[in-house]
Amino acid sequence: MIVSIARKEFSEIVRDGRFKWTAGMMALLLLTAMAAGCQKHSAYMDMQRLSQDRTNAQWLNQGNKNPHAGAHYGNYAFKPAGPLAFFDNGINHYAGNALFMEAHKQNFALGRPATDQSSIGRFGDLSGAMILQLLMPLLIIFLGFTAFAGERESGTLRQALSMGVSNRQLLWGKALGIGAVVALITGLCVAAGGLALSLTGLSMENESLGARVALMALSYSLYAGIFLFLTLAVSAWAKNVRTALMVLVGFWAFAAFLAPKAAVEISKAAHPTPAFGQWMADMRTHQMRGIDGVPPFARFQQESEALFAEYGAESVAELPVYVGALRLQKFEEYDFPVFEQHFGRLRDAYTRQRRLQDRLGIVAPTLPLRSLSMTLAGTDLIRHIQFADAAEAYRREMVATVNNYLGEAAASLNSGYGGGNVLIADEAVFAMVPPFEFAPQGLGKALSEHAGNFVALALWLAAALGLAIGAARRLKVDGD
Amino acid sequence: MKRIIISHETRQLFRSGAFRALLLLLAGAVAFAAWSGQRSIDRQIEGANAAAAFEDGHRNKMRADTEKYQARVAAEGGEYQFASARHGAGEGPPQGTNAGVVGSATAKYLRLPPTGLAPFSVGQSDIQLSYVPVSMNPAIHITRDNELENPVNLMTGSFDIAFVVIFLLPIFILAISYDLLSSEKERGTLAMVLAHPISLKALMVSKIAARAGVLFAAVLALGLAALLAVGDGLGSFDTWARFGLWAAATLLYALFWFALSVLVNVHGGNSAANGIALAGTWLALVVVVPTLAGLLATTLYPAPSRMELTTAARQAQTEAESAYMARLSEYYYDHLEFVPEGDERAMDFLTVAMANRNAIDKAVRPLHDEFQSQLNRQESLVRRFQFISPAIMMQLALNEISGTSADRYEHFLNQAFDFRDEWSDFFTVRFLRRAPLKPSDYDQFPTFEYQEEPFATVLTRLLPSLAGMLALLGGAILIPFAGLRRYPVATS
Amino acid sequence: MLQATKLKKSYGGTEALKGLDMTVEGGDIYCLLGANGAGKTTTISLFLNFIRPDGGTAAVGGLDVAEQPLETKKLLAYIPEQVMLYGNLTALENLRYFSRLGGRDYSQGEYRGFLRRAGLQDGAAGRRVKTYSKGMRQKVGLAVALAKQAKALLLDEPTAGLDPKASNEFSELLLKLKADGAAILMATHDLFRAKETGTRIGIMKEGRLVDELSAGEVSHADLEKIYLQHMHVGGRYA
Repeated sequence: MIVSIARKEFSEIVRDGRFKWTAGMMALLLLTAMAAGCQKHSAYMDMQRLSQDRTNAQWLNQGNKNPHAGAHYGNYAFKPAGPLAFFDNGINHYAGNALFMEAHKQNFALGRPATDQSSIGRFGDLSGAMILQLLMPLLIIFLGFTAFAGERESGTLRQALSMGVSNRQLLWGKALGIGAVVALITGLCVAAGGLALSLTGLSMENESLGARVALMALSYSLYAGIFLFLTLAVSAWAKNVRTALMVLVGFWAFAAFLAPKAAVEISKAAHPTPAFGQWMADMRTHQMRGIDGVPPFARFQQESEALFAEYGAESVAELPVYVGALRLQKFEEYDFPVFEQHFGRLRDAYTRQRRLQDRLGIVAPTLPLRSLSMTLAGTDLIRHIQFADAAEAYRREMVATVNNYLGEAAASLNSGYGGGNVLIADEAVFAMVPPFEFAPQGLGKALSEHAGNFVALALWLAAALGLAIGAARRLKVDGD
Repeated sequence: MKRIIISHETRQLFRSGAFRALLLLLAGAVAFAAWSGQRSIDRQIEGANAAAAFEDGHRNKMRADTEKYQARVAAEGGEYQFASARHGAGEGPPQGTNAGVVGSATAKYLRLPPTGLAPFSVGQSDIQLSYVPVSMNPAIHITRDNELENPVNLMTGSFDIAFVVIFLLPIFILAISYDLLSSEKERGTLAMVLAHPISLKALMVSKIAARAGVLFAAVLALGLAALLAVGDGLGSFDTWARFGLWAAATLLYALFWFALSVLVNVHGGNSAANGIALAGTWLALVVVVPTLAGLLATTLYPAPSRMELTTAARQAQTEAESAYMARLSEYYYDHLEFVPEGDERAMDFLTVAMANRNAIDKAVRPLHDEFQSQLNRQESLVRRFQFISPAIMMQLALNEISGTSADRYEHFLNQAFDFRDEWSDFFTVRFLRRAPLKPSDYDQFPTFEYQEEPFATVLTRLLPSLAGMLALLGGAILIPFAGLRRYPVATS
Repeated sequence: MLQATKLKKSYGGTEALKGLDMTVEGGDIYCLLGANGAGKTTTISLFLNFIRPDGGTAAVGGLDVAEQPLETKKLLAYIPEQVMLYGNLTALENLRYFSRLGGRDYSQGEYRGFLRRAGLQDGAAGRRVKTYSKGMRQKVGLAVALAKQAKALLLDEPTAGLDPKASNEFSELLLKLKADGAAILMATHDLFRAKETGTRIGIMKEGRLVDELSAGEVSHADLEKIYLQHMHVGGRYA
């Protein structure tokens, strides 16, 4: 029974001229977005790899110079796009992809494509994810808002129910029919995109690609289910087709456009992002003052006796390491807690904002889906922070390596100001620092933040289902 | 006759609970947007104040040192001398006497002041810093820092008044006019009305006029309230002129959507079909076409790669550096603080460090300039894509009107680059002469005042967007009236 | 007052009217009988310029409807099968709106007078018409016609679905309007009512006027017989 209702629904939709238009447009857009996504993604990844190799080589070939000057020359970390960035580019346009790693300073990733785009870019990315998040719900609404209301107006509902079909069967049949149409359009296009990407030959080992794709499919199916059952619920409840359409389109506009922006503003108000000037002034003041109120120079003076004792020396002259290098490294280390505190403050703000936005998913299912989708694509904030952390760890190691080398190799300089015979490092010294490579943490780690989002989507689906069943039970056969 | 219908329609509108709810929603959205816009501007100003206070604090400290030093010289006798560059506190003249140190160790923050209407459209101001540091450091440092907003927030975009106007206002307009004729037809009142001496065209114009009148009065009142609440410079011509432009652009944009509603209604479909057609059109014009335009633009005219620039600039830097490195096998130019006191070469180190920076700047800057001009070329090509969507035109127009456009920002940066040369020359000359800075010299430091563009320039840049919208509006008005003759009042 | 000359109209190939000639003078109540799809509503729509004729003319008061639609509408009043009104306005407000559309405005008392003349109970005039029964809405429709002081009335099955009492009241009012000199064209299925109130009766079939009778000259039984004969075969005397 349900299957035959579904089949009738399916063929009715597919025969509708308007459907051919809508579905055609949707498929065209999806395919365009997928093709563009693949092309951009593989071009980006090529450039990222090329650039990382180049700067790694530049680090080695920076010329013979003092090892610490080498640390000032530094190196760059370029961010890989994320395994499914071709589908959902997430924050990549807004997060910076080049992080300069140098002595004394922790930097932000710079080079945000959004700053280099015209303001048209701010309308967003036409990506597969965007189409499924924003357009697919509208497609479902268009296909389904007449499901009950339309049949009621044309009188066929009365006819159908007189044949002994239960309301519940009618609901499931219609859900199945419309769901099949939507799955057909989106599934085919997304699969085509995936195929195209695999042809570009990008390797994505160690990124649990299978799990990502499966969870992505699950999340979007839940999302589609929410809109499907909400549409059927409203169609069954509404007095007429007009009301059903108004209510559904209104909800869609709210969930997909209004809610995300409102959630962002609310989260910014609840957990303000410090302004750059304020943040910079705070951190630099703190740096100069010292983490616990003792400025670096004074602190080094205070600690020098204990430090010398570690080396079994009583004076600078007896030190087995070059004091200048020791001081450089100590100063570097004095800054660590200051950086951690201030960069940490910023990340806390970002993370709290993200969590609040996720929690606001109870008013709009687009919010949790969006968040999940970015994480599964590897284009989210969590991964960006991982990248920045990896770069900072690398920077510290890089600077310590050259400083320590300078300390040991230039110990003779302690006996006096050495003038001309200061130490020069060559490629062999710089080669002690391994090339930078970003190894993202596993998917499980990132997903542990998202249990709430899965729950939110599941709750939405349950609520939509409940509403649909309730509305079908109280289905009125005649309109007003 | 039209007056009768307009007043009847207006009464009908206010009788409808849905319409009253929509008005309330619009008011709520504008209030929320004004609040958000205000917070964004406040944040910019706070950031600029803190950055400026930090750097000015440095300079003031240096000045205070020179004052003390001057007093000491006056008391003890002797000559007011120039200090060699180093960091630690010493017995000799303070660092504040060294123009090279003052000019390179402290920065001057230049501000792009927000216009009176800035909270209306955040534009790119959440990404680009509205305050930039200028020092003797290479010019590229001016644009090195970014605003620190959460990338997720940047991606989502601001809930500002521009968003309400561009995204939400059309929804409200379509919601009150999508069934302009179809509902009367479905209710049967259309035949009742048209049995009287009134033409369909007059009826429709009146119905639209009633809705547009009510809605526009509401938008104007809300805009005015927002301006009074969060706008700035309410006494200045500039602010009110910008508000006037805002109102005009919003009117044009709103009329376009009303015309679209008429266009669809004239087609004679039922309300549900009209609703679908209009919701689809909204999605297409406001969401799909702009993103498609962005995609086309970045595919046809891709922006040059920052990554490529970075590695190329680094190559140029290495080459420029190696010339100095060969001679100066030192690292002190990075660390003047370690130069032993009294070492005469300290003077040279700063000189060499400056020369080195200068050489790097000269080697790297052409790459950046080329990059920038490539970006500008791309931007001007991309701007042609605005004409395919009223939403893009409106966004560009509102950014322009609110003073958050890319062009105004570039105008500011050009002034900043010029000022950097002035600032740099001032200190370089004094440093190379080894002329000690006296406290009174601190009053002679170059000052910066942003020179606002002439209003005519703003208008000139607005013109394409407004003209484009006017053309679209014209098209949207003319087409439907041609179709009215065929409108089926009675169905067979 | 109302005159159709060789009036033709076709919808997508099927001819709904095949050259209709008819005249309704002031003081006439002309009842159009005919099966569904015979062209009754099309005729009325043509007089109202809701649709454009494919040939011939419809004239009101000597003016061609297609050429001077607004002038002719000043003379007309229209009452469809369902008088549709603005549900969230009161009867008075509806009446006032339509009357002003017709180019006339009255005092509040006069509007109440029209409603009373149309047979609406006094208490109902200030209520929103959402709550009205069909009969009450038809009365408001009549009041609109009264207020407009129309020279010609076009009625499209105005009494269909009304209970006998309401139907009777409606007919009484029509007779009063006729006495005032209005030309009334009424499409109906109700043979009894046509005979009772009509002065002349036209029978339409497949877009043609196949018979015209004077209501006073036929008995009710004859009328029914003639009508059925036309419907069954193809002509009165076939």
